[in-house]
Amino acid sequence: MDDAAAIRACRTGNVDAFRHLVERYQARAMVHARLLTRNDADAADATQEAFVDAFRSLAAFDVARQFYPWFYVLLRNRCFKQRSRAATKWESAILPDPRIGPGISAEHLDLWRAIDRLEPDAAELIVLKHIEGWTYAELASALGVPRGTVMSRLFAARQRLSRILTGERS
Amino acid sequence: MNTTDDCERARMALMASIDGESDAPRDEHFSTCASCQLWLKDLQSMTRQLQGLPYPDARVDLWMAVEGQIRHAEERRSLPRALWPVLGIVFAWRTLQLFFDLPLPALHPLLPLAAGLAILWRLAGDPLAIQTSAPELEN
Repeated sequence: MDDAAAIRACRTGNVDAFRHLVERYQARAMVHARLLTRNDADAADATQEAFVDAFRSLAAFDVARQFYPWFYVLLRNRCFKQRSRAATKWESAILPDPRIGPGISAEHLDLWRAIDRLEPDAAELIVLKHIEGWTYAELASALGVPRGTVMSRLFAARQRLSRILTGERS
Repeated sequence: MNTTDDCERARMALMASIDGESDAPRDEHFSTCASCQLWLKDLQSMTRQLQGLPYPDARVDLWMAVEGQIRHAEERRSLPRALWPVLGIVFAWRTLQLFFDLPLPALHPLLPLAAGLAILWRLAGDPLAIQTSAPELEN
C-alpha cells in the first residue's frame, strides 16, 4: 500500500490503514522529535500526539503532496509544546542508546554525535537539508521563515558542524 | 585566516550553488581567497559524509498507543453523530406540527433526563468499571 492509498482509506474511516503511515514514518519522526526536544519521553509523546493530529487532519491533506513534510509541521508544533513545558528535562538524546547495527557504522554514529552537539534548531536544519534533501523553499515553508533566513541559518549551522567535525578529527 | 564581508557573500552564493538552488557564482573573490577555497573543500566533504546518513534505530512502536487514542476519540465523536438523525426527526415533526394537526409524541417526562445521563456515561466512561491495569507499569 502506498501513502496516497492509505490516506484515502483513512478518510473513509479505516483506522487500520493509518498503521501503514505510522510504521513507515515513526522511526524517522522519533529522531526528528529527539532533535527538537532532546528528551526521549517528550519525543515519544510529541510523535504520538502528532500522528493523532495527522489522522484528524487528513481530510485537509492534498494527496498529490508528500505526506512526511506535511506531517513534519504537526510534529514540530507538538515538539515545541513539549519543549515549552517547564518540567522538561534537557538531555542530549538523539541517540539514547547508540549501537552499531545493520546499516549503521561507527562513522555514522560519530556524525550523529556531532549533530547531537548542535543546538536543536541547527541540528534540525542539517538533518532536513542533508539527510532528507529538502529544498530551501520546503524548509522555509515547514519552518515558517523566509528563504533568506533559511540560508543564513543553514550557513551558520554548517559552519558549526564543520568546526565540530574538524575538532573531532584533530 | 580572517573572513571578510566578501568571504561571507561568496560563501553564501557557493552554498546555494552546491545545494542546487542557484547557478555557480561568478565571483572573482573566490579564485583569490585561500580561506574560501578551504571552506568550500570542508563543505563538500561534509556534504558527502552526510548524504544518505542512515537514521539510528529508534526502536519504537507507537502504533498501539496511536490507535488507542484515535479509536477513543472516534468513539466519543460517534455518539453525538448518532444523535443527529433523532434530532432531525424531532425537528421535522415539530415543524410539520406548525402546519398540520399532528399529535404530540407521547414522551415520558423522565426520558430527556435518562438520555442526558446515557450521553454523560458514554462520554466520561463507565464510572463503575474496575481498573484492571496499572498504566504506570505498562510504560
